[in-house]
Amino acid sequence: MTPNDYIGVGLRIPHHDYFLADPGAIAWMEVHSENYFEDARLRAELLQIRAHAGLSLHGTGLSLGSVDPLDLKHMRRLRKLAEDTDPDRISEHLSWSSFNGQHFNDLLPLPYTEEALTHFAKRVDQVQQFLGRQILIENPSTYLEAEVSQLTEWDFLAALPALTGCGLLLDLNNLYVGSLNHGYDCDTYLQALDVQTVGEIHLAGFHMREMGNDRVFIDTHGAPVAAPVWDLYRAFLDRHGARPTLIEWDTDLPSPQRLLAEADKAVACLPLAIAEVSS
Amino acid sequence: MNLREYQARWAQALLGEGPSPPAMLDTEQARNRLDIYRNHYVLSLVEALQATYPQVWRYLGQQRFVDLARRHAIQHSPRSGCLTHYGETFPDSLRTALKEEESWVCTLAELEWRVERAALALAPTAFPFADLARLAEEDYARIILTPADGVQSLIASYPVATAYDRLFAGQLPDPPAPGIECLVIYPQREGVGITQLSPQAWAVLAMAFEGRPLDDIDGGLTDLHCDALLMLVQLGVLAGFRLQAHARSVVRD
Repeated sequence: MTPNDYIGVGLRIPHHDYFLADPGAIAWMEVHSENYFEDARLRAELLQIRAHAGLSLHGTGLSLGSVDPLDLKHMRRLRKLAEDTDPDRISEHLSWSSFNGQHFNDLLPLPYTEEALTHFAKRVDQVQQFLGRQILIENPSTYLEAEVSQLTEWDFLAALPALTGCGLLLDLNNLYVGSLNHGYDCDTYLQALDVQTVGEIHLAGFHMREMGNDRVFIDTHGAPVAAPVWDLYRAFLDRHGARPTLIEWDTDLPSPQRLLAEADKAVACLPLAIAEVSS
Repeated sequence: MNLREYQARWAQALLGEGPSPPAMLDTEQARNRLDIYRNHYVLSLVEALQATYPQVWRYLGQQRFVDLARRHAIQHSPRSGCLTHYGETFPDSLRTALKEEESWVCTLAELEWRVERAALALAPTAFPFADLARLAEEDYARIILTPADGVQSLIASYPVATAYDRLFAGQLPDPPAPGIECLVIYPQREGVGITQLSPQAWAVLAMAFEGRPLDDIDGGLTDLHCDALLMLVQLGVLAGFRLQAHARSVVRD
């Protein structure tokens, strides 16, 4: 594999035409699965692009951590999308989104308790059985921590692959934002994880908001990747080697060219890491 | 506190139903941070409504639309983790909020909802016209038509199709006077078509939606209905047809 083969970008709807015209512009793309459940036109375009590029399906709506029953209709639609597009990876979040059938359209923080871990692992297992394949679970970006937590986020996350056989999606921007919002140490977090289970890395931008005396760092996916996140990425590559890596940009969407330029920065981080893995 | 209690408290806090934030979040910093989640919840639904109702948004203007959409979002949570079908009852919310003279905007919203549904489907493949042409004239009454994917219909209580077109072109329309308009909304290769139907075409389309043979049309199948059938085929509203297996014996007085 060449460095370019590792780097992907998020395919967002305004960029469809660009990538339909030049589907080989990037090695692989990530899409938000739910955007392609119902829209036959978007799905047809995705299939055209998929014929020339790798694909990662990234879900936001399964609400894996919720006490509500799993949404069978949602899982069926995800399975159909996976059957149609044959993605390289499927991922979801360490979060919950619904209660009593009401969906909050957000990735809400879980309490890191033994009960929540057992519940979450059971649901990951059920989804993997339903899909007939492994999924990756992404570390969340949060602004609040539950006082009832008994485990750290990293211990909770690290337990999942062993319990379920799932992989991890390591979002280094979420990791960094979380460290600023909650004061934990990124190295401590990373050292807790079995990095062999990391199947994909996400890089994105964030914003800071002043709220009285509080400064909150918000995972907006609306800015270039910040320098400290690039540092985390290089450090991960140096220690653990290359992984498929996504430049994620969802708000204040730049031109495709600008997005691809950000992807080039990730490519530039890679050669040394690939050489080390090969040797 | 178990997981169910924790999520119940969060849900109450997000919906603003709890008298105070959940105990585990009871600091000023936590309350402020909870507002990030609250705002995101409402704003993301407002954005979803803006995407589904762009012409209503254009007509009402940003501030009025956002106020109405916020009110709707707070009262109507999504019932799915996929927002594609969020906002179906927004026209009802508009009906309760807008003044009588603006009630045509609710009809405009009903049209927009259907336009967005039609936009989710691919343009139909060609209708099997040669098969239709081979039918004997007496078999026409046995035809059961199949609507193309995504086709929608609307009996509009205001003639809003023209207003929709003007808004789509970036012009503000005059408020239309009340009047019934029977519309079919259908996917095309590029975008969505909206066509006003004659009573005969409406009757043919109704039979297609109900899976009934053309013989069931009130008053029987006429040449005008056959003309309307060809018009619907040309629009791409119909995907195909089959023949009713056995002609029913009809006793007429």
